[in-house]
Amino acid sequence: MNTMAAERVTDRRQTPEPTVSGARRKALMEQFRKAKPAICMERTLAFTNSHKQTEGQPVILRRAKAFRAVCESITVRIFDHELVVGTLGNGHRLGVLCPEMSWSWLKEEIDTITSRKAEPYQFTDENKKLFVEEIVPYWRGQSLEEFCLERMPEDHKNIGIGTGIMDTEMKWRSGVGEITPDHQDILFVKGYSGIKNEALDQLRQLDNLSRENQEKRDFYRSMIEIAEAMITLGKRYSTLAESLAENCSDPVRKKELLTIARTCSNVPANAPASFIEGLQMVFFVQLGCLLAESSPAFNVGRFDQFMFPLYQADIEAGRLDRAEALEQIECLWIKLSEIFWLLTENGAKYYAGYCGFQNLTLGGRKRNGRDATNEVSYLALEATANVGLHQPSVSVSIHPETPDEFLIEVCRLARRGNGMPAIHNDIIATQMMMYKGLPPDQARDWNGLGCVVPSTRKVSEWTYAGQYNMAACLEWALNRGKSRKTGQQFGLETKDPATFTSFDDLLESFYGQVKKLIKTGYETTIIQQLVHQESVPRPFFSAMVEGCMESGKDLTRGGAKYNAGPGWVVVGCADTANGLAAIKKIVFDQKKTTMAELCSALDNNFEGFEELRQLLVNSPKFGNDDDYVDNLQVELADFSDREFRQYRDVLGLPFHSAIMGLTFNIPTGNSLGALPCGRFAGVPLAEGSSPHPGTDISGPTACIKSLGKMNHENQPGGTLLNLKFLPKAVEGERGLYGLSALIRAYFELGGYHVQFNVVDARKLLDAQLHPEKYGSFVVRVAGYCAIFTECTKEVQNEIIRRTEHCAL
Amino acid sequence: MERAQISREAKRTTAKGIIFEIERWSLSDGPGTRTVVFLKGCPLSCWWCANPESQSDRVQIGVFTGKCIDCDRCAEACDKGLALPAVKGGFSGNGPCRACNRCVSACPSKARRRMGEFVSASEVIKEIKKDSIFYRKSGGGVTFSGGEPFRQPEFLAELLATCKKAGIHTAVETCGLFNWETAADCIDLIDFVMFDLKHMDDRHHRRLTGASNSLVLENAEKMARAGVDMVIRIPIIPSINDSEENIRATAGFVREKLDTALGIEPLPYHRLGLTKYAALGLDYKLSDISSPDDDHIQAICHLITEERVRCFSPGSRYQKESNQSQLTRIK
Ligand code: SF4
Ligand code: SF4
Repeated sequence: MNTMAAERVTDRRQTPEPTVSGARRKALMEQFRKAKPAICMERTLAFTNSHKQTEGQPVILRRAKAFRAVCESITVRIFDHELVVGTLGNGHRLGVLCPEMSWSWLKEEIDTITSRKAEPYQFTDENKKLFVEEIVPYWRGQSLEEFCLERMPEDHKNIGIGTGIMDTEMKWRSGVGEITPDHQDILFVKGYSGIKNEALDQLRQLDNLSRENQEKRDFYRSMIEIAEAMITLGKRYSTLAESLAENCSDPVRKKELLTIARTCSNVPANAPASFIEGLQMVFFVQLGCLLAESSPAFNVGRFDQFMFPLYQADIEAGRLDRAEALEQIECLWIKLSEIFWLLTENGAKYYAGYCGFQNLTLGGRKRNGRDATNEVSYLALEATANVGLHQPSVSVSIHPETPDEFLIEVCRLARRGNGMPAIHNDIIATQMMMYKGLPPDQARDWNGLGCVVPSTRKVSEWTYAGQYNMAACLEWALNRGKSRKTGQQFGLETKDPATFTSFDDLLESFYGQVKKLIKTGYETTIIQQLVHQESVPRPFFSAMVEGCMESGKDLTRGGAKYNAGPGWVVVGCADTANGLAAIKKIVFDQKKTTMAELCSALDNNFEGFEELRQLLVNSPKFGNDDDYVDNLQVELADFSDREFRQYRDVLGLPFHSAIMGLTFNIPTGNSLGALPCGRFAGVPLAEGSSPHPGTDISGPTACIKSLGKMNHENQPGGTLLNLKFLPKAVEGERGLYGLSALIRAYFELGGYHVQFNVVDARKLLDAQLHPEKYGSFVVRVAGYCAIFTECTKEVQNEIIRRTEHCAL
Repeated sequence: MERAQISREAKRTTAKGIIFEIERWSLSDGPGTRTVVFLKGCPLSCWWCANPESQSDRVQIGVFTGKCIDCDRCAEACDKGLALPAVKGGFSGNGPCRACNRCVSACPSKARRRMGEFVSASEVIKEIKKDSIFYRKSGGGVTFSGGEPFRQPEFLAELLATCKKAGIHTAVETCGLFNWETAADCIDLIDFVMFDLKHMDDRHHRRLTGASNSLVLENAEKMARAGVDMVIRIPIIPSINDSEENIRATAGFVREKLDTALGIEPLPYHRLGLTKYAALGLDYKLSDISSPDDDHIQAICHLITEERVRCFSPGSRYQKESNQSQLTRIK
């Protein structure tokens, strides 16, 4: 860390507070807070009505026409103070329903959706009636959900639906999502009129109508529909802005409205010509994504890269200053927080927050390998800190040549404590992309997807085909394939655990269970991919990914230039490694108990076995830089990778593994009985590849060393490390530089992702009551150190008091 | 010179020392990210000590009530009949516990913990090296703290020499009360010193720490002349040693006698050690003093700066003067 870097950091801080920004942001935030999130039926109705008129036509064309009908008919709204505009229909904060994917959940939950605890939505009686009378009857028997369920064998359904053992709901109940528009090479270059012209050209060039060309023709006609749809949406906003301007008495706002009118008459039809047009283009595309297939993980991509040329041009021409650019970015950030992905009641338990995982990536390298950080990267971080909302999901990409001052700003933002930004290792992400099959230069141009997945605008993939509960396999190995909670025979009927004479016996049964579960997962994905191909092709998305226009093929059929196989997420890796290590140590090394006694302790959820449980709890745990257990974690992750890699998807591409997912740990934990790591039945599992909460008691460096032992590049669906800190531990300049050193070291060790949670006093109060959930906060003061939950109540209160008074 | 080296080599195989903790990832015990090795045994017994187990140079058994599941294993294991479940006090009477460790290894929940361990330098070095990558990335290294590390000069010298050889930055935290002659071997192996000055008034120093400050002040001057980067630290204990008079006196001493020191760092008093007092069955003398708030510390910093001595406020990095003006603005 050189001193130059520090100086620049200081300089940056010294730039005067932009006077232009504060007021508008405050007004917009006020509006945002007042608006109640609602379900809008306009998209659903228009989409359905269009389908009624296109029966018998090619599916892809029907979907494109329906999209066009939506863009032509939904309400257009511009709210006060906005510089970036657009809504999903008639309202402010909206989500939309895609009945062609799934309608049944809303029907079931219709009476509770407005009143439920987690993420309730406004849903008017009129809309409810419309839904029940118009929408449901049309789609009954015709949705993705019904097609998928019809095809899935009973076995697969029994184990894979609502069990917490395996879950693919996101692929049988919703569109794929998980895509990044190619702003750099497509949308910011030619706009939707360019796309339309290319499709027209391609149509003209089809010299004979062979079977293959017939399909291409359908495809190109869909492209034209999509382009027309987006162009129309823009024009409608332009017209609205113009008429609002006409009636506006405030000259300042009038001028802004006229700018909006001008902006929307140019984008998304054409390439954006100014910074604000770029922002508006981004938002129109995000709207289009959600209108096309309400799903998670429509990523903005490398925002600083495609926005910088526009920023630079505007600055140089004197059309824009830094403060104005910041204000405009803030406007986009607030808009991105307004639109969301509709959640089922079950989904709301885990993803609540009106979020859509619209990932936006900053920093990183250019395709030629040189550092890509620019002024827009800094502006975007500032906007994120200023706005403080949940969207976009900001990711940063860090490599050895990332400027220290950028990393320090990242740490400054991270220290605010809400887990943003997600900090990624550019080098490992690149390797992951290469493992998925991309050439190095494309791989370097990766961007974040969803929560922590590396992807790129060039690739079409199912980054999250599903998740499986690895700890369940350990449970089965210790219970002859039966669930300890329900007694159901989910796994293989392996040997009686009481007959295990060595640790290898246990491993053999365990790996057998994992193999079987992974195979079930693979088969499930194949079924779902086929249904997607047949019933929900993706014309809107095919227009924004390179290769489809050239090949005349939809994304679901492999039209993109680059395709990658499906990713499956391992849940409970650390719990499994800890469990195996505990058995190895207590049963086979120290012989302090027998397999039979252990199993009855598990059967009884440790009731009457507290002493044994303590032995298990105090055996080696992943996250403490202890090879005894860390090696097992590495082995488990590598096994998952090898096992998945042998399977091929419908396009012939290898499956891959991932260890991420922040909230999957809750339902998976719920489905399990007691585990040999000493965890009680029902308790959530570890988050992603992080240690089990409360078990990493050796501080963040030890935790990072443990994580660093894993082969992250073999988990190209992403890994996840969530480090929790007390505010005092990272206060001041020392804290900033301390965090940045942790990141640099973790990334040199080959780690992929880390995010920081700095806890507040409220969390600590909770930790006092539920130490098992938190445990591992390290209390650090000069010459003194302790683990929060190990302190007496009095000391804990002292720490809470210090936390309350800590200003970062 | 040659002889000194030989004798140090010879000691290498023999030196064992007693430590009570190795903590990884400290940001406040020297520059950068540090591993702190706490050597056991201290000549002072300060009222506010946060690590009561640091004072005795023997192995002690700590019992943590909160973790005890009352299983009686400890009592069964102790052939002296001394051990009791932690929830029942941990020990019966004041019998001569030999710290044989039987009850500790019998305890399934880690409610009994051994405080203190005789270890060889190479065992300690192994732990220190685990975080080498973090030292490199942060400009950090190892810090030997205590207790009073200079009370185990041979052991410390071997630790320091091995670290230097491995390119690891070395720091020492000292209470200042040690024999300069026996510590001399260590001094030129130290890159950074944090030197405590607890009270300038000897009467108070004797009362609060149990020893005179004259040797402390003498050693501080010697250290300043030895050319080691040094920060003076004052634990700020409200109403005990934070009077304007004492702060100005300390700053004055630093300005006049320790002109090579980088500056003064006030360390806000805290009560986080209470758990450990309870674990050792010790009384805590300062039961009704609370830790100073940020304003209080700022006021102390102000006094120090007024005395024309640099002040490192909590959370600031130790930088040489030239850069400090810019860096202190970041919080
Ligand atoms: S350390 Fe040994 S002597 Fe002391 S209480 Fe425990 S078992 Fe008894
Ligand atoms: S062995 Fe440990 S847990 Fe059991 S009674 Fe003794 S102190 Fe308590």
